Amino acid sequence: MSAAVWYGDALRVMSHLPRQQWPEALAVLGYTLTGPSPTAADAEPRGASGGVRRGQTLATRRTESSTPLAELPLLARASSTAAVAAAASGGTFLPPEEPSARQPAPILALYDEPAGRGLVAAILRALHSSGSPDVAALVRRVARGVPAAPLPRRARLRLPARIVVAVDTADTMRAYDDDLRALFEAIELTVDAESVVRVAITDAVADIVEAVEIGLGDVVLLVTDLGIPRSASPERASIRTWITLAEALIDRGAQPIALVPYPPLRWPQPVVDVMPVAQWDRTADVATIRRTHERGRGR
Amino acid sequence: MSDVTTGDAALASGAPNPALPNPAALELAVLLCHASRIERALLREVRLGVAPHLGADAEGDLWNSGLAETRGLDGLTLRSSVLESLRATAARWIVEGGRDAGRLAQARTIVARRHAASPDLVQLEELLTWEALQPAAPDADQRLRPVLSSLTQQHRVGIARWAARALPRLPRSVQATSTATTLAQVAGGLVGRPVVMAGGATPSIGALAPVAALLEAVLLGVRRVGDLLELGLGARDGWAIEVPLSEPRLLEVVGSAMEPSTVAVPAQSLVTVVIGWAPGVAIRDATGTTWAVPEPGPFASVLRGAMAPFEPGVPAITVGDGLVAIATDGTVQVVPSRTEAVPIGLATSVGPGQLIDGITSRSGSAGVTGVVEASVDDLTVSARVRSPAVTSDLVGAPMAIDGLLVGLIIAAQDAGDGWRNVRVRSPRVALTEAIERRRSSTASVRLLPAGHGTAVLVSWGSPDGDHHLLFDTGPRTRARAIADLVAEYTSGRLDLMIASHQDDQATGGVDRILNDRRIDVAQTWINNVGAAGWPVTSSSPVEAPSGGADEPAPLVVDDDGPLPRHELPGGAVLTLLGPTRRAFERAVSANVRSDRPNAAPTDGPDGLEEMS
Repeated sequence: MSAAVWYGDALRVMSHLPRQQWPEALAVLGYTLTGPSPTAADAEPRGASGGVRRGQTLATRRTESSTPLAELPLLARASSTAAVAAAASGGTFLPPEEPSARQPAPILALYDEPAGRGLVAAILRALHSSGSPDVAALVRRVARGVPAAPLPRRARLRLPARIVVAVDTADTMRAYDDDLRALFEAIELTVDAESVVRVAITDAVADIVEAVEIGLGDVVLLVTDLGIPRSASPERASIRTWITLAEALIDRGAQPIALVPYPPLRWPQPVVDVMPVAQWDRTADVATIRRTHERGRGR
Repeated sequence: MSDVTTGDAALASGAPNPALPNPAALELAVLLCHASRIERALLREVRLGVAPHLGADAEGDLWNSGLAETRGLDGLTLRSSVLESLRATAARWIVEGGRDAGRLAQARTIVARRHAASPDLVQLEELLTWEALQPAAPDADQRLRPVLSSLTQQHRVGIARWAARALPRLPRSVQATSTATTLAQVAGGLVGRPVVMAGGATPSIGALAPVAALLEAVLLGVRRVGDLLELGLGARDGWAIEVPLSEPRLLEVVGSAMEPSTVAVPAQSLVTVVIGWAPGVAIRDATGTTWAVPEPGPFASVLRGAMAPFEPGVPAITVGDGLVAIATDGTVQVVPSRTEAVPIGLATSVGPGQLIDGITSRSGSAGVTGVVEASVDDLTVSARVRSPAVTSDLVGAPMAIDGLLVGLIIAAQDAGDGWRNVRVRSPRVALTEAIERRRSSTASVRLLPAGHGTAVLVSWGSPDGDHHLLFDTGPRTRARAIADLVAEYTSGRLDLMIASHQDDQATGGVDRILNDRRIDVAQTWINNVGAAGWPVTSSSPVEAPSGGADEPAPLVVDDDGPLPRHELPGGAVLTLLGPTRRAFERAVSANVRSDRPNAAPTDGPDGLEEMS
């Protein structure tokens, strides 16, 4: 779009009128030139009136399009740079980069060996006490005036048919990604690898119940932070989410237990009330885990 | 841990993540603030080995806090904006020399061991950071020189990528070194984006100079617009120069009437520098190469945001109803009518989505709503506006955003429901072109108040200034008023005064004009040679005199043949349409016979000048 378009109406008029009539015609169109021409005063710097000194950058604008630079004529330069380049060369250099074959050192697992395997075994072994109803214990409860539910069960003498390891895929759990390998290794050293089912806890937390058809006798190990971090999603941060999940698993006859990389002080108590929780850290010990299960049996 | 608490307070204001870190996470962050990347395994080892009192939750808290800038498969990086605060705490621990200093040293050992297989540059980055924490830090400049040499002489692009990532994260004391500054400029050029260092020195041509000649040369657009110099993307009618590749491109503007000034031109940008009207301005790059800046065109008008009061008499042009005044210092003002000045600045950037809040149409200030649809380039804007003004009235009207002039509407089209699609041309270009065009190719004719007589002032512009021709002066009774106007309109310079014939109504004021000290008349043509009472100051006959070299020849037109043409200053051409030779001679003889100086010729002159 050139200025000719902008002046189109004036140019058209001027081309059809006698030249004597141009000034009048231009005036009708609103074009008038008035005033004196720039004078010698224009050669003065702008500082006098505009507060801008010579050499000052007036504006820097980001812009995407332009005339391709290669199409512009080159301004002739006045000096060569060859001597400058020669003077600038030399000095010491970095050694060339060699591809490294070294593997990074493995992580120090949260459940370190050999204690780690014992801790995992304690979690799973304790869960074996979920067999048939323990009638004698039920009678004692009733005698003490303790509510019968949940029904006390006998300790199971064999491994559960299936262990479902549900790993929370929340971003807040990414700090512990490297520990999962060691955890699975410990689990599979404790139980038959074929009896271990892995499932991901997605944003729809309760979906795992249907995803792997949780059934009677399943042990469900929830590897999660229970939404404790402040940056957890609203779904996970809700205590109700985890209580609902635990109750759904128990209703199916499964035994849930949460493995949490946060200390007991930060566990949400309402969740602890419905489901055993074990600490996933080196400060955990077998005795504490057993007590956790004892409390679970006492519910 | 009071130090960490202090750090927490600093972080609370600096970390954008609302999830503020707890003290345990901060403690880990301080212990690892010199690591370029914190892998999970490194974090674990430092926690267990150096801060065993912290639980695994501290790792998660650090990972999930606002302290972490990136979180990836291979670990996390600490947020750049909090690094300086973390490192201040670490430096204090070291100065205090207690248990915490020992724990930091342990952490450093673990980081160095864990990253021993990392690239040399990563290890250098961590070493530089660690050393900067020490009370007596070694010379960081020395450590960075091999990096700069390898980058500039071995052209290892990987180094540029590393520098672009690492330099902004290095301690400010390292960033402030001259080598780091140079490295940032060179690396920025290679990666195509600025390497911004909070603690870095201002990009300087001096820092770049030692290596500038080793750098790849790239083209940079140069254009002079009046007293402004545009550097950057290619501009229409501009030039290109080859400069060392750096980000930003660095140049020095030098001139006899100005102090040398460094100009930084970011990629994909156009920088405007005030250089004044004086000649002899040059551009110099970091290699010392210089280019002479082309001289300014005499009518290359310049527009900028600073406003100056509009005053009558400054060079001005009307565009539609918008009177755009170009003051002598280059400022501009848009006035919607001849009498009311409305200050409107110049918008420096316009982008899609910006709301339009003003259009002044020919029929007056129009209430306008609208939005910018696209900023096609820096010259043209497409917009959609709703205005009560008729479409044709919008063309030529100035348009504003936030009270700042965006440009002049060059085309408008109905889009239904009261909406118009308009195209807006930047005032910067449109007005420059307009004024150049107006001044170089148009003329104005003023019929001065000569009563029953005639006095016509013809003005025209050209690249070397404004020019004026006075055709007749009107009667003697109006001579003073006419002389006042001529002095005002011409700034005291008449290129040519034509006295068409000896008659009071036409030329009674010739004396007054010629004797007026305010008016300098370069040439006078009097078409009544020899008549009594005529002060012949000069004459410049169109035709060769018939009576000899000393005898002025009359301004006449032959009955056949081409019309006489005479070139005037400023490129204008005057074509004589009359009187014919016969009519002229008849008039002269009548005057001589009657000896009546003011008698009108029987066949009055019908000379007209034609400007082209």
